[in-house]
Amino acid sequence: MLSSQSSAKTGELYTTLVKHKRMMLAIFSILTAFAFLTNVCTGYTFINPVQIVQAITGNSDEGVSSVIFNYRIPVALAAVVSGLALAIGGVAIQAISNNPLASPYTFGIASAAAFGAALLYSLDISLIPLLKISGYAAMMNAFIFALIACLGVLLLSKARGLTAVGMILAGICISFFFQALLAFMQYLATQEALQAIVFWIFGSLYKATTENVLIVTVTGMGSFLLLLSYGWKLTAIQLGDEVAQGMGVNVRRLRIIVLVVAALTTAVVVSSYGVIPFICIASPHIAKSFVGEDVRYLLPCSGLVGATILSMACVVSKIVHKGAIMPIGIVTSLVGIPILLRVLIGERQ
Amino acid sequence: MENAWEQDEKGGLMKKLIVILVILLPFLLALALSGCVQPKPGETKKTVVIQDFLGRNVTVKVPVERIVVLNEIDEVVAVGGKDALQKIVALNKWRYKQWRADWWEEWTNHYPWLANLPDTGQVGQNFNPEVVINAKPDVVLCWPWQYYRLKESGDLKKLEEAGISVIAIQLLPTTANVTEHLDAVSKNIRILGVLFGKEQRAEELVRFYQDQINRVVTRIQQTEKQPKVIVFSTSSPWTIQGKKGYYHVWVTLAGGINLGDRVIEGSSGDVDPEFVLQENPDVIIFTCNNNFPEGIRIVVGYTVNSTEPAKNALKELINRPRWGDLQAVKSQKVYLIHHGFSHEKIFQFFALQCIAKWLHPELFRDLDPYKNLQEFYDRFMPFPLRGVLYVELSE
Repeated sequence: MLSSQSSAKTGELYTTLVKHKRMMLAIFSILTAFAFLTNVCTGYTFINPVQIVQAITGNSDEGVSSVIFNYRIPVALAAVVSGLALAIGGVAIQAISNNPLASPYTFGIASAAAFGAALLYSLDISLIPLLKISGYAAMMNAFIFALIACLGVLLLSKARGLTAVGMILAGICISFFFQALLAFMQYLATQEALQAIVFWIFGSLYKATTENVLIVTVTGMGSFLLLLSYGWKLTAIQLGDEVAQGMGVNVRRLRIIVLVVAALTTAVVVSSYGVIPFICIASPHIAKSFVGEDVRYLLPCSGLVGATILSMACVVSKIVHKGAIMPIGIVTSLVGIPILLRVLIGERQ
Repeated sequence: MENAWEQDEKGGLMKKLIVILVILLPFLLALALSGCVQPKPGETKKTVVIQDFLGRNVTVKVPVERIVVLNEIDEVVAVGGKDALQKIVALNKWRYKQWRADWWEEWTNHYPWLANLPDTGQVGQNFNPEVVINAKPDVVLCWPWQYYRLKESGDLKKLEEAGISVIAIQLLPTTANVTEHLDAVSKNIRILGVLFGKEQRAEELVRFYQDQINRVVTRIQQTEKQPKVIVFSTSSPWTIQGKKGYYHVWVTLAGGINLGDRVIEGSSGDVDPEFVLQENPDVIIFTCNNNFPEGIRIVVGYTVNSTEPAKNALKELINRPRWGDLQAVKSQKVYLIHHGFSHEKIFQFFALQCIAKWLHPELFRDLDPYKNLQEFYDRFMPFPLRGVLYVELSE
């Protein structure tokens, strides 16, 4: 009698928790939509939502609709999908490394990608020479080196049996290795090439084109769905390798798949828009304080948090000095840190 | 036996001594000869106190015989002539190779021995004070920012302890006040004149530079038109020249309004693409050091013989959404210029004249910046001018 009562209570509690988490997801979806809309409305001139609807329905002035479709929407979409992709990469890496301070950047993805771009700007080396004409050479160099970093982490951490600690150590080695190579490229660079490298590293959503937004969306959504399908396994692995193995999770296989997926997703974003810091490390923490550790909810919630922060950062980058665009990499940290601090201090209290 | 052994040992010792002497001989000779370098007969040296660009009083024996150049050699040669080139005992080759590859190629084509000069490295990057000290210069020439870096790093103290004077000079356009700008440039050129004992040639160069600048600024008063200009870098799609950039000075002196001045406080930064559409510039200039978002592409410079690569680059650069509606693009007033000709050079008047002509073509119909630059090369440089240094979309 007692046990059936307690199980009923647990069931009720579970339903309430699930309801709460779903509610949170709904709230963050609305926040993301709001941030996206604000981003589209904000710019050198304010475009109100009515004008946006008119542009979409084809009833607007050609100038306004051209600005909306050629500049505002691609940039705003890039902010949403990149924020989402970076954040889910963060959740995945924090789960498999069982380390709240880890992110795809810890595994050298950012420094490797930046090295790839710097290789082009400093020494004019394009890994796929044909791409030089199309203007995609920096992106491909960055992408290829990000994947090389990922492969390096995998091979090195295999030596330690693909454990969480082994992965972190391998990641740190790879990250330092590429940072050294990047510094060497900067040392060799001309003044203008150096400026190009620095601007590349700062990141810019104004590199958004229909093609790269589409690529980031497809890889981001694909990774999201794949990681979501590993949801409970990723939750289990955070309880420790033994517990996860006891629950039937093939820990090694999971680590390899998730690392590759997270690296791929991050590499696509970094190679398209540069190194955008903070999102992948902070979004999971902020999301955790609202929906807890269950990856099935944490993953979408983090994605939405990432999308919201990056969109708001994009708005700030446009309005700090009207007419000028502040590098997005600087703004994400400035916008994100107060949010993260608020959440962490709130948690403690 | 013992004697024989002793004799063998003595013989061996002698051989060793001879080998050591042979090895040391060149060094001893060099040591003996190093004290014999005397001023050329008839040339008297005098000690002078020079006030450099930073207002520092530096005591130097002039004319100098040995110089180390940490900035660039063009002005040294323009003032000191070919002789001055022979006086360079160490050079910041790193900067040339890395930042102005086409200039370096031109210099070493004409004077291949320059490539064998000791390389000091770039100040603040890979500078080696030992190279400078070993070169035993009378004076080291540098830019003000290099002087500050030398001071911060403690290298300046090492050089001064070795009895080496450091002189900072600067030609950078920092003010749109013509008198102030001409005064600053003249002062620096005269410093070089005193150093090389070529005061007369320095005066000639000062007059030439003033005349070239005045050709624009005196005539610009005849017009009230102020075209709106935006100056982009080719290296990054939305990076423009701001309030503290040297192009701001040139555009202002050429009777234009630098739109970048309204949005970028520093020397350069990224502009909101919508700002460009909204402000609708009359003239668009791309400053190019052969760096593009897709990497290095040599389109302008001494070593370029055709305008085609630069024109193609220009066409790609303006291929952006709604740029076809911009006044500058509609009227084909879009230009690309070699970045190296815009600042810190005695021939920087070339950038000002080009911009003036682009902004006010009717007013400057008779002005030929390339011809004027050619004249500068013929009169002051040891080799003639060549290469493609700018292109126009309308060509």
